[in-house]
Amino acid sequence: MEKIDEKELIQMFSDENQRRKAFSILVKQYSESLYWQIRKMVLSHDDANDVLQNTFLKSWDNLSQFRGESKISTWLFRIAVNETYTFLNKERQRNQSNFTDLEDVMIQNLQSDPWFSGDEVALKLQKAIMTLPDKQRLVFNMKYYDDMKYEDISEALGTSVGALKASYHYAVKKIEAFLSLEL
Amino acid sequence: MKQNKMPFIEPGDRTVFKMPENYFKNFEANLEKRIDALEKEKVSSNGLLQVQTKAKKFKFSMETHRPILYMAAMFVLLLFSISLVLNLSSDKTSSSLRLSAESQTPSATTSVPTAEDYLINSIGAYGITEYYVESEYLK
Repeated sequence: MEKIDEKELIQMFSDENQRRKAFSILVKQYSESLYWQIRKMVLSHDDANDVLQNTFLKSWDNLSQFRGESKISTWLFRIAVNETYTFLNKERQRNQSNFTDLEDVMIQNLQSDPWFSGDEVALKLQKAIMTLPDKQRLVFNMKYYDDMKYEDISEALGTSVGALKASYHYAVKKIEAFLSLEL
Repeated sequence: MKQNKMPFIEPGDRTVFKMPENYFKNFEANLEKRIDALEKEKVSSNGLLQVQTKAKKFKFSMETHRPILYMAAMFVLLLFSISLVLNLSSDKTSSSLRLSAESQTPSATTSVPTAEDYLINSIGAYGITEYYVESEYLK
């Protein structure tokens, strides 16, 4: 994969003739990491694919406004997070009108998902994670699955390190409590 | 992937999530297609956008000139009401003038003698009763 320095990429964005090429490099460079962040939040592959497409379409639309004040990865990550929240809220509203709980629906779908191969324990862990509020779930995923440093999470989410530590601590406690009842 | 991070469970790591083969390669191709479509849409809607911008500008000028338009409308209304009041009062004056003029000059109808006038004139200085008495007496 063609790796290009961030500064060079920003320069390419400002040149209309090179914008498309730069965007293609951007997609190659970040689609996988963004996909996994989204997938862990929405669980289904099809939904993750939709949200990821929307993320890149939105970033393409706003590319001319990107001034390089933050890292491209941070900018993209924030768009992805916003798109994920928007998707989850829409789904929540849709399920509310059917008097169903989104989290229950997501877990049910996961059980029959051909793109999920986890055993019963893995499914229970997902159930436990689904009990967390969206932002806490995001922090938990970034720390637990990706082993990211608090400083990096702080930069990506714009939240203080102290708040992130507290959030992760509470998330672990909640998951422990849930699993002690389930297992 | 971090393993055994939590003491209470073997982590259900993300390898439990799978995806179709060559997903990212196909994803890039699909995204390219969608961006192409988006750009075409932008170009075709560009003309419409220009019309909308003109309409917005007109709306904007209407908004900025609205107080002046209101003031002009108020002024016209004021002029209309003043002229209405003046017309009414001039009508009253002319009708009263006409009435007074009519009372001063004898009208055409009063100048023509009627049978009643003739009768009263023929009575002259006599009273009406004397006139009748005399006529009875003559019989």
